[in-house]
Amino acid sequence: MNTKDMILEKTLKLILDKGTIDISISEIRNSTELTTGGIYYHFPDKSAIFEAIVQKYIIDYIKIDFDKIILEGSSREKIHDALLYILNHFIEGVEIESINEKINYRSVMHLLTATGYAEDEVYSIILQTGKDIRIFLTGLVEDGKMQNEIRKDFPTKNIVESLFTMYMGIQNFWLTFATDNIDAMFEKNFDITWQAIECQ
Amino acid sequence: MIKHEYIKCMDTKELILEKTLKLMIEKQNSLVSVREISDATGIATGGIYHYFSNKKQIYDEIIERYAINYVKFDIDKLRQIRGNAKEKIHNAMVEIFKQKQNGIKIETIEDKIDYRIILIILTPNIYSYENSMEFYQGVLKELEDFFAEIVEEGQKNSEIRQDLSTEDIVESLIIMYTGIQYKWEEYLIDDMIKSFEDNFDLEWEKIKFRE
Repeated sequence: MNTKDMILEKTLKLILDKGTIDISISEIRNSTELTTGGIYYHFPDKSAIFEAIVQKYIIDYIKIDFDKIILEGSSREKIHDALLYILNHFIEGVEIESINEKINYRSVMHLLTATGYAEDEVYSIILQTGKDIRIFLTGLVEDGKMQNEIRKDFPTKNIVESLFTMYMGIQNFWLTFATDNIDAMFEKNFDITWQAIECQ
Repeated sequence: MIKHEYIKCMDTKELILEKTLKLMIEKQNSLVSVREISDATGIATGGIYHYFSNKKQIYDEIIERYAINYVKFDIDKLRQIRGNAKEKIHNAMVEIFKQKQNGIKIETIEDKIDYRIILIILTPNIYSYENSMEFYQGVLKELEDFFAEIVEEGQKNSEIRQDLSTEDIVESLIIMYTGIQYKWEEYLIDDMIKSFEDNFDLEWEKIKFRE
């Protein structure tokens, strides 16, 4: 691994261990075993390190690869599996080789907010991901209506919004309370939601 | 002039907290130095340390005052809502979103501050703030208890389905709430009440009485 990447990974590890981005250059120096000059050779300042971490570990992570979602069975199964895939995508986090652990979305939130959450690129990707999830769900719901599995007396838009809100609510619940029975919570609430939207 | 007079009357400790928050908002970053706080308040570093033993204490008090306390709801106001189960749930949710959306008045900052701006800037510190989880859980419990009363009564009166536990129905309502709140915080939607109205018909469909 090159020095630049090493600085990024070691700094990320510091952030995860400390649970804060209030990290000094001397701490980065200690964990990378570089001199201050050695660090500043690669990055003009500390915030440039944070920004590079966002670029390298966050942006790709927020994006969802919808092609990886395997869709089989009834509409119920398809919608269930898709939402579960998206939820797990955020909860399970991404593997970072050199620090030998997964970073999860909670840590990601630390980084995002600390390094200028409102930065156009990050924000527009978050926004786009939300749109993509809804477009994806719209296809599945419309399909379900055609197959007479989903009731037609509610607009597709509202059904999609209801599913999306349920998913967002569970993710936010996990984010805030670090609940470990997220799967059970999802299954239960998916059942209740499905009962409301299925064809009677 | 009036504003100046007011600031003069303001408790120095409070002035330090407000100016520090203002600084964080301007910098879009919660990492500020004591030197910067000193410049912004016009108080010498020694004067700041007279009120706070270290920077962490300033951070913690800002979190308690502007981020954590803002999460609370005016439950007494929610309890005054009358009607059947559907109306009570609907109107209580509207009131909750209204309270959340209203913004925070900070004296030394002219305008009301959007809670999300504070949240964005303080999030890294909130996560490292020791009591935050306990606090959030307390607020959640209060909200759950409030809805549990309405749901239980609604189940007794055959307005709300009885084949699910009160707990599960409350959870479904809370998840809808946290989902909309998340859209507001994360996707920066403007109007949580509109989003709630878009969700409510189906939410009611989930929990309404079934034969």
